[in-house]
Amino acid sequence: MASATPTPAAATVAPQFGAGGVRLFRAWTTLLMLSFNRLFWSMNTLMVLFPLVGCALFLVWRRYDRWTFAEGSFRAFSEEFMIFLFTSFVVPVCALAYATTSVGGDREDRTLLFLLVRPVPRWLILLAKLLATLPLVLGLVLTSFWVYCRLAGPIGEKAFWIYLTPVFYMTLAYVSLFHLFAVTFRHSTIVALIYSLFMEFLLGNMPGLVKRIAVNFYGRSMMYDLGGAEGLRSPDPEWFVPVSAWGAGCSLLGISAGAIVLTLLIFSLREYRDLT
Amino acid sequence: MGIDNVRYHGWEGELRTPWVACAAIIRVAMLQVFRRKSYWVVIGLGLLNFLLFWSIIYAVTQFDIPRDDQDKLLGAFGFSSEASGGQENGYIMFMQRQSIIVMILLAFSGSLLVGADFRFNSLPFYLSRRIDRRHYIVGKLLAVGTLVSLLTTVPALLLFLEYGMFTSSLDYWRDNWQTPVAVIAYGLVMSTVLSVLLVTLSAYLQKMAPIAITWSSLFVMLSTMSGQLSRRAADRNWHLLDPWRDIRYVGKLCFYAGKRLAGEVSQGANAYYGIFANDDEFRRSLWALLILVSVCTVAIVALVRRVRAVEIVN
Repeated sequence: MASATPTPAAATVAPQFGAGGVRLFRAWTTLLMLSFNRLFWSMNTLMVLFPLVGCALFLVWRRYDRWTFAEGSFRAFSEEFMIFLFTSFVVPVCALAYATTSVGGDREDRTLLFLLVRPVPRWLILLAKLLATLPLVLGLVLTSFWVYCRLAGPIGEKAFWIYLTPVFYMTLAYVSLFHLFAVTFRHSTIVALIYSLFMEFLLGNMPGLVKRIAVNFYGRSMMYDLGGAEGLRSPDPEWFVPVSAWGAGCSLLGISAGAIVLTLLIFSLREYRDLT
Repeated sequence: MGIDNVRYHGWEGELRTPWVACAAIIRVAMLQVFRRKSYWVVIGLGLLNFLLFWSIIYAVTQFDIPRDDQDKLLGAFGFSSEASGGQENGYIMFMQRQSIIVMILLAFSGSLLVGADFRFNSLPFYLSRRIDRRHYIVGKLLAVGTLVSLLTTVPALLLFLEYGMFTSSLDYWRDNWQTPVAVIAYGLVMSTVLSVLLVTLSAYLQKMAPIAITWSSLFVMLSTMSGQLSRRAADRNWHLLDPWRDIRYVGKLCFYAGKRLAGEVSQGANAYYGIFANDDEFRRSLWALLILVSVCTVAIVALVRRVRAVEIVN
């Protein structure tokens, strides 16, 4: 009889472990939802509508031979809108709006300290932040991309399925990279802005292999490769030697994975001294 | 403890005008900016362009380069090897090429210099002193304007000095005396427009990320769009959508006014002295001036309404 009853220690440890796991999960989901709501109901959402609406107005005026599908129009849409406006500006700005502020916002508002003192592992905090950001950025980018393609007519419908993969991979890469900036630098928004508007432009116009460290290069390579069948031609090989779509896709996924691993490492090990 | 015992007492000296407080606002703003390493990185990036122009002028004036190559090299950077006509385009080009870095620096500065005053409720402390919102606004505008000038006007003036110093006589400076005046006028236009827009945006948006998004959309996206629309419609008036281009057009007006001041504007074929390509461009510059004046007026009205010592919460 006595041996069948559990020891007091065993009786307390088992429920505690289970309850702890549940509590941790609840804490994590709360953080996830809180971060999502905080990012979504922010001034950034309102301000990011400015470039998005601007692009829609641009497309409405530009039209791209809306009611007929022509190779020239597809090429113009791809080069003018997709490469020089959407993937070079709109995608980085949407990623910047949320990815740098998911952790960076807490740092800026000095609330990261209160997050870090809670009994939640740092990697889980980061995971919650990342998972709160990704649907927002992907949702915003892919929805706006779909709307823009609808606005462009038959060319856009074709372009949507051709360029969906590069746009998805680029968004993923920018979000991961900007999270890395957010945990590494105090003013991550500005670092991200310098990277996306200055460094990528500077590197993108350099000859040789230097440009291969830019996210934009792989996105453009994928688009030139995938759009080649529809008449999109890559620029002068003296300035731009694209890699294959498969290689560029792998590189973008590699950049995303590498950036996430580095972010996890830095966030787990770093002692933030600027929290109070 | 009685107030007399802690030596609180009224100011017994002569009171100076509250406008002197603007100098203190600028000084504090500069200290805030320059004590941050990140700003030095941005300023360092901004100096890359200056070093490029400096090296070009040095190479052209000091090395024995064939005349044709010299002309081509100078022409690519907007300068001319002759001491007359055309050199000023180089200074306009230089100040224009600083646009991205100035844009980034200002996106950074807006939240620090203005947004933080609203976010952390320090505005009532400013306005509790013997200054009112006029002095606060002018102080902040001058602080942002100083930052813009440090990256645009000052380096452009240094380039003018350099160009003259590397020649064997004072002819360059003497023949182009109106160029530094025009550079300063263009710098003033740029500083005024950018500071008015930035201070207004920062007063409303306050945080760095929304300021950066709006600011970059204004200056990068509109620039790309206006270029494409202009090519598509074969109508250069679309360039008026781009605020940088508007500032550049008004800058050209400053250089043109400088030439007129020097009495060097001839009538007929060379009426615009190489600064404006044609009459259309001259007219476009006047439109750009009108646009900038209108936008700045609206921004100033919005800013004055925003700057209040007491925030009324509904």
